[in-house]
Amino acid sequence: MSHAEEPAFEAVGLGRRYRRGWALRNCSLRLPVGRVAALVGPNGAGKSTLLHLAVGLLAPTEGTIRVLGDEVRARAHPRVAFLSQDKPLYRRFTVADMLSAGAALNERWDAPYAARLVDDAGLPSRARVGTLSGGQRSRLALALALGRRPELLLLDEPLADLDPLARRDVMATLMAEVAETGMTVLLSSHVLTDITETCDHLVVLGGGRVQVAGGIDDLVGGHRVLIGPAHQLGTHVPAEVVVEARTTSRQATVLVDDPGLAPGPDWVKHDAQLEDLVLAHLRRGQLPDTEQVPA
Amino acid sequence: MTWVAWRQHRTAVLSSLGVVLLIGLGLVALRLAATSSIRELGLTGCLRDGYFDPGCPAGAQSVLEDRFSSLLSWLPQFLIVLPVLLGVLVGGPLVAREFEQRTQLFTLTQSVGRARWWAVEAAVVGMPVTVALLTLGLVVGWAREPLYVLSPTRLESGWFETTGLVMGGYFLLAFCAAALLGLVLRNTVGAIALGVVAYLVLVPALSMLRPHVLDTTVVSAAPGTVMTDTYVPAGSRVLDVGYRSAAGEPVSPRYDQCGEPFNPATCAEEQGAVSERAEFIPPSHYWPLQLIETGLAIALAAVALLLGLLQVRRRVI
Repeated sequence: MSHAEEPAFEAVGLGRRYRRGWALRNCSLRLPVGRVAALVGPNGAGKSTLLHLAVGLLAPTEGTIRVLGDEVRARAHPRVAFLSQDKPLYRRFTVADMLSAGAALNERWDAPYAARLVDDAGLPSRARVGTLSGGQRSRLALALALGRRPELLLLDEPLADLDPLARRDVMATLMAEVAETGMTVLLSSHVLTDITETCDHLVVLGGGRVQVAGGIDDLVGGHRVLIGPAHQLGTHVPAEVVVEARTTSRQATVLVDDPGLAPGPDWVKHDAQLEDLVLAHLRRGQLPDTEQVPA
Repeated sequence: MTWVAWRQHRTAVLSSLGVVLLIGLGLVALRLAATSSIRELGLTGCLRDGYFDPGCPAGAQSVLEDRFSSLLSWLPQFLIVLPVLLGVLVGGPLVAREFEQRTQLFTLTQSVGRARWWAVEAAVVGMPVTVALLTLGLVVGWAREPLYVLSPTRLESGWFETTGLVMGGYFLLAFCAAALLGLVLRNTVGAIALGVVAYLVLVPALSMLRPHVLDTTVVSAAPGTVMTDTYVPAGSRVLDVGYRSAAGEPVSPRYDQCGEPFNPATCAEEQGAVSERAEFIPPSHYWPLQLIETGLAIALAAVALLLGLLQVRRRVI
């Protein structure tokens, strides 16, 4: 068992190159045990690549990646479960067949637990996977992932292409199990609002790199929005703390990552909103390297 | 893992076995029909060393021919495509369908190693059908036995590939090659198409190589006498027959310059031939050649499986 000091997930200098170029580069990330972390970023940011690397579907081009203290290998870690974006399951299997497949393919398998999750989801055991709705298939895929009794659960866009009701069901099941077991979760999404209520940790991926990562409370508490006269921006706000600055001819609105900064009497300080903060970091991440240092 | 592979592919395996079983039953019926025809026509015991005994009922041979020779001519043409057809249709989708439906993202993230996944999928599907086709090859050989005199030797291309053990070997090779192509291309149709093309190149090539695998037999006799059972046993695959001069050079007689009455051997002698030479694969080479060719197919199939193992280990999802 991994002890508390060992991160559940740790990437150092991780990179993966495809024929078309780097999908992920220079990615370093630590996720402490017990966190429920959201991995957010626009489409093509490298979220799926990072998760595929974590579960051994891809080999890293450079750098290292460890889960639950062990180097990731081709064979999936027995205590790590993965739920892929399109929830691919054998279409011609019945729900009962899928549960048997889970039992047959895993040494560590909690059959009564998986069966209970399937029952709770109201899935008819003789229905074929191909006939299930998107929401039902997600519930089945989640039951199969949880049936492995993971200590680290990786979910790739678990809510994409689900209707709002199904989203709520899937999220509620997931969070109930997380609360009960204390497992670490890393779930990716390109929609921030899906997950801010349920997650306590945030990783923002943009342009194949980690733009910002940390506890959500720390992140929000570590940023401030300053509004003040545009002409004082260069002199009163140190360039190295600026995440993003927007100016009109008179007024500057600046997101800074130094909460203690007090530029002067002409400036008003607001709490930062998580969504603004994420978007600001993402916009900064999309700039070419040379322009990344704020002017 | 075995159960999952079986559950995934049981339809393909069972329908392949069903096809083989149906053909097998048809062949049993053929043999029964042939033996009863031979009995009914009074031809029992007339087929000595592959030739009709001249003392047997006149006209009976042509009746037997009418009944069975067209069947015997298309049967090997039909059977020869069976191993490759089953091989690519079962082997092509074996793992390619997982990639097409993206279920490898599920399978490969459970606690089953990649090598084991590849090996078990191939074994669970490939073994039963290989055994079925090995059996079918033996049944084909058994079913055509009574009609031996009507059909060319089983060393001839067509029968050689559809009797004995090579059908099983060819199926295994087509199956493993198509499975490998499916793994590399991740596309069922591409794997099937390329598998068929590879087979269409391979089978004629092997047929052309067959005479060079073991030493052929060469005999010489007086012109006009070599093609008798004394020199060339029934069931041989004759590769070449020709006249030779005293110096051992080939003689191709010009038959328009022959004297009367026409006799090709006499004519050849008039034009310098002193002997007639035949080169053939003797019937005793049938089983050694079967074993060699089946062994070669199994070895190539093993190479395909090994390449597949290297490919699955590459971890490109």
